[in-house]
Amino acid sequence: MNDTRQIIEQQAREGTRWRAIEALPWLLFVAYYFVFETRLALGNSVLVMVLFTLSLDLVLGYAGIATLGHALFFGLGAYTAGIVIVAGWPEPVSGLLLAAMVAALFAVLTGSLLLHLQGNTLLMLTLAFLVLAYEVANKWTGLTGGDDGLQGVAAAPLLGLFPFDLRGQTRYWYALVLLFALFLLARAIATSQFGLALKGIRENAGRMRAMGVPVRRHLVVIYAIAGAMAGAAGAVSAHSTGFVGLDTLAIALSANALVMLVLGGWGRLYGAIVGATVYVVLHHFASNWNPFHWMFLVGAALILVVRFGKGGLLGLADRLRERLARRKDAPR
Amino acid sequence: MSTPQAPALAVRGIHRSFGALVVARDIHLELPTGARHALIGPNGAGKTTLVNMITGALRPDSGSVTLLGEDITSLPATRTVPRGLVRTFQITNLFPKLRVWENLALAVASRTGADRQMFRPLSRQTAVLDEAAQLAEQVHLGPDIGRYVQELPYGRQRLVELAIALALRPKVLLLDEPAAGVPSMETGQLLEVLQALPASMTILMIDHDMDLVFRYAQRITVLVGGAVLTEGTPDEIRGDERVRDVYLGRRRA
Repeated sequence: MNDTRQIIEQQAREGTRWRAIEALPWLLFVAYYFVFETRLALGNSVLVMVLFTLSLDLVLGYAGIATLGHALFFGLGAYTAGIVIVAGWPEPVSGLLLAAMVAALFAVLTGSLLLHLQGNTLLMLTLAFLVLAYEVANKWTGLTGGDDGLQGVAAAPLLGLFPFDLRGQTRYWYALVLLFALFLLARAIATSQFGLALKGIRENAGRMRAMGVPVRRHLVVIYAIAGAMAGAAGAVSAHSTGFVGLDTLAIALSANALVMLVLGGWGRLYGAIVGATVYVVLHHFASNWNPFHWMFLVGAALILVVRFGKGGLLGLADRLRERLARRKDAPR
Repeated sequence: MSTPQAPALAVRGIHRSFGALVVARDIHLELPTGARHALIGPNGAGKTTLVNMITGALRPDSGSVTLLGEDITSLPATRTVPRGLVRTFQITNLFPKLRVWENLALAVASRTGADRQMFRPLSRQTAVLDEAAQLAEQVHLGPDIGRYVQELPYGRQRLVELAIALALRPKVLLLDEPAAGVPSMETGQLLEVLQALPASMTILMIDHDMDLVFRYAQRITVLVGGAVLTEGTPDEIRGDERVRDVYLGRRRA
């Protein structure tokens, strides 16, 4: 009896405890600020995409919700944040909260309608909502600026102290602090009993239902939380760039986040960090190198990772580490 | 609603057809509290279909199912499991990529509502983890507690299936072929676990393993072609000519 309980205790702790290596990405993000002072705009867009991809990981990686429509929440957040500023309320923190709430609200609405579905049907319908929102934003020019986008999104200084400067110091810290806070939230959820229930739904939703679990309720809850996070990412993007365009509601944004997640490794949170960072940085330099053919590079990288690196780059790293450990243990 | 006299589980006049194929024909079944009842019948007799109608997974065309006197016909599992109706699956239906204790913790937490808690680390869900350990001991899964379910031999997986059901604290437990695919060496252990279940638990077992059924059940219902052929004690069933013809005879011949 005691042995059994101890093994559980040990493994449960192993699954939730902080490892030293987890400090690494955050140290690197902080170091980036000091080393690449002239490239803070790039750093900001990395952090925004990490946050967006992280929210997708909760939905897709943990709960197994097949979605191509996750950009809906990013776009809703971005437009909400932009519109309130253009309408005369430039305070960014309240705009951020409102953006997250609007995105969460739409996540609850669409999630309640869709989340009893699975697989291709769900994939198509999440996509349909995104396309619908795109068209609304495209046509409703009075509110969104339509094809030209929403111009002149000038947020007031953050907390009344830090103006959104051209060098990008404010926007870098803004994105980093928010990402870290929301990462802590995502990590808490992932390592909780609720997080285990999400994995159970991902692995075998039918069995969860047969156990009496309110599967759809759980899914709508995580969809709303992830929707709010994606909305926050959209708001940061709007505040940082001073602009909201239709690309925040584009299928390409959903697809890119999916690629980033697969690249890094889904269902482990840090995959979102690694995948989005590698992708955005690669995008930046490859498109400087050749603006037309850089996608080949990304495509080739993705094929290699999916073919040889089950579990993305982090899965690859795991197996490399295991192999090294085995070599060290092997008798000579 | 429920009266002490009400049977734990009652199936009254259940009927269901798919087009011309009748899969359930006016089935009656009544289990008093604490019953050890078995349902047997050849392949295609409609045993699993009946379980699906009892648990609400399949809607009967007519007839009713009552649990402790309460009508639960066609109610989903989210409504019937909390009332104490729990089933196991004929084909092992688990979370193969999760560990044994995680499988059990999922079931315990769904019963207690702990699965709504998202800010407490899993390692601090002491009550859930304690109970998962107890359940593992109860079904002799202690040594496998930390392993992934997909690594376990099939017979051990059947015990995980049973432990998940027990985690839901059933008043009425439906066992859909608990011994299917279990090596005969290991059915003894399964029987031992089943015999140790509290007498207040009402159990309906469906199985092909005649040895297990005759050793475990107090009453047996024989289902053939979607209809009840007969019901009786194990001795009566063993001595019944018709049962031997349609079922036992064919197998033993």
